[in-house]
Amino acid sequence: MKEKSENKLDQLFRDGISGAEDHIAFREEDWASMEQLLDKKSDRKAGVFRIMYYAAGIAALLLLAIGLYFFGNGDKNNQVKNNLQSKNGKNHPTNITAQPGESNPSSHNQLPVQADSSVSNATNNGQQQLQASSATNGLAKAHHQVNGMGHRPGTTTAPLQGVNNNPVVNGSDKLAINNSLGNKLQPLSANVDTITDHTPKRTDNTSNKIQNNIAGNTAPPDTATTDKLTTQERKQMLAVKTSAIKNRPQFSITVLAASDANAVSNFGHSQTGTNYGLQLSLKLTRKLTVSTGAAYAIKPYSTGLNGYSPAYAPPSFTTNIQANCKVLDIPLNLSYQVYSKGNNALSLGSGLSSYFMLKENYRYDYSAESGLDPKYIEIRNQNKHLFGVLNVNANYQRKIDSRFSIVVQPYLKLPLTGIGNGKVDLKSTGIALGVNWNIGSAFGAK
Amino acid sequence: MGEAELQQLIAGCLNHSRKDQKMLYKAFYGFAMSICLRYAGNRYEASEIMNQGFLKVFTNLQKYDTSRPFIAWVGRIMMNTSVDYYRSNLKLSLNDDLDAAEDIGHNELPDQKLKYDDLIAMVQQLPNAYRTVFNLFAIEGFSHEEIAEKLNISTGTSKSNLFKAREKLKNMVINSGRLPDTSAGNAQHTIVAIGAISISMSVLIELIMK
Repeated sequence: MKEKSENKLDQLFRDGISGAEDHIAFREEDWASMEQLLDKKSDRKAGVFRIMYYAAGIAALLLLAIGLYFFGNGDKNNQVKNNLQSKNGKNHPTNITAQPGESNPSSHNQLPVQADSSVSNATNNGQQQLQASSATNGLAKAHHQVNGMGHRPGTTTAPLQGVNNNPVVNGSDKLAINNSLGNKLQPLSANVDTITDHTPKRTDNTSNKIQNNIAGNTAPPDTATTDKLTTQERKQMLAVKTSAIKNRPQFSITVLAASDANAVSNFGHSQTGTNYGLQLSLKLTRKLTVSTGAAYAIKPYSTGLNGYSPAYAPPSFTTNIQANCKVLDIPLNLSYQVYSKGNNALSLGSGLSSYFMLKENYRYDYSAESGLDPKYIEIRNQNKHLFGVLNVNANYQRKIDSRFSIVVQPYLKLPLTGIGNGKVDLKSTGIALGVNWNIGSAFGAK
Repeated sequence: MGEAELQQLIAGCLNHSRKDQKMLYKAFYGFAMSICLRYAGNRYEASEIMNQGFLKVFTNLQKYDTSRPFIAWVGRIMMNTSVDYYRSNLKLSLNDDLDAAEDIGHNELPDQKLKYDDLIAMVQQLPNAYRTVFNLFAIEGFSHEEIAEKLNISTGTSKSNLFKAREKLKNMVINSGRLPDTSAGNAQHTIVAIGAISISMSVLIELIMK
């Protein structure tokens, strides 16, 4: 009986409702909103391209920063070599090309190998004589003395002879080379000492350097200049070494709390939200810092129907939409220090944030004429916007001590894509306050 | 619409021709709307669901298997979009008194023919959860197991929602049959009013005579 009754009811509705298409007249306004949907879809595609464009830009900046950091270190090593070379003379390129091309191969090959192995001997055995020779500044005398020295076994004889015996080198060149050898051997030995003291792994390069130095030093400087150069080079070596230590990547952690204004379209009707975040920064160079982290943000806002366009739009008699979103904000920013004096530092940064919408609450208020009660909607973990928000911020830091500093960070977050269920243009601006702990310097203190 | 004409429209839509899209939309408007209207709470929601469904039709047109009837494909998309609408947007309105679902005794329905507009209005008055299950079970012919899987609910909830939907609908149908009663009530009011007026008139005449 009951079953029969149920079937009858079902059948009543099935029969009554089916074949209803003839009852329904086409409405032009439905097609108008359909067209809007179709247009929005193509807009969304364009939006995706825009996001990719920005993401690519940021990625390129990051790569550039990382590249600068690593190659920057490499360049400093090269700089040491270049310093040594350029200080020693202006004409060295011609000499370098002249030597391999014109000298006989055996004597040329001998030069770097033996010079490398006998540098210490040269400093012990030949230094005094060489110094004497250069001090006199007499070209002919120097030529003789160097030649004389060349006959001593176990010293730099072989390489020097190799150069001197070069049949193609004309007389004036010979003098220049001999002189250069005489003048250079002292600073050279000093350089070798410095290099072997500080960077033992680089001894392979010393042979080239010695070759270049020997070849390059065509202008005969006096001993005073030589000494000056030596101390300068030592200083430079030290400077490079210390700056390399300074530029070591430094980590720091910042705890931030912020109060910000959230608004759709413009800040005329903004509502106040709160943020709590943790930020990890990596100082790539003295001025460039990359940072990431996580922030829990509460973002309330209200909007009309204009700015709110969810997949299923609220009815046209909706007067207001009140939203409250809990968001996990994962930023990736790059900042550049524009000012640093004493304990104060100011940097400007930009980057992209990913929003993970943890919880979205909406209340649709309907017009009084509709007679409908407000409708509440809650959505959890459904929307995420990877690199969907552009960050622009300024960062002021004031040091308290070597490890801690106070941070004041005004920021602006501009969406590149529609945020949340309503795909709203949700902008936020505010000031974050926090404390920064420099882990890098903490390790450095140990 | 002939098959050749339909294929031509589909080809045009695949080329993003707005004119062909409108023609296809117009051709299937009544059919799509008839599905969405019985799943939705009102005409506005029905339009939203239908347009969302058509958006899926337009964007997934290349996936349509031409060996099957196009209308069935559109119908399935509309039904699925409606179910999705229920699933994502109407979570809060459920769960109110699902546990109180009981098997209530049913009386015979009055033998009467109801108009489409009345029936659809009754279905739309149902809470979303009841309406969806009723549609899927009574109109589309799905089993409780299939509905449970589709809506991500238990079969028990599906059954209880169906019972509640039927109960509410039956009351509405029975009440709709009692419309003459209310008109009789109105007649009584009229009689009382006429009586009151005539009494007061006689009182007035008496006063004047005095």
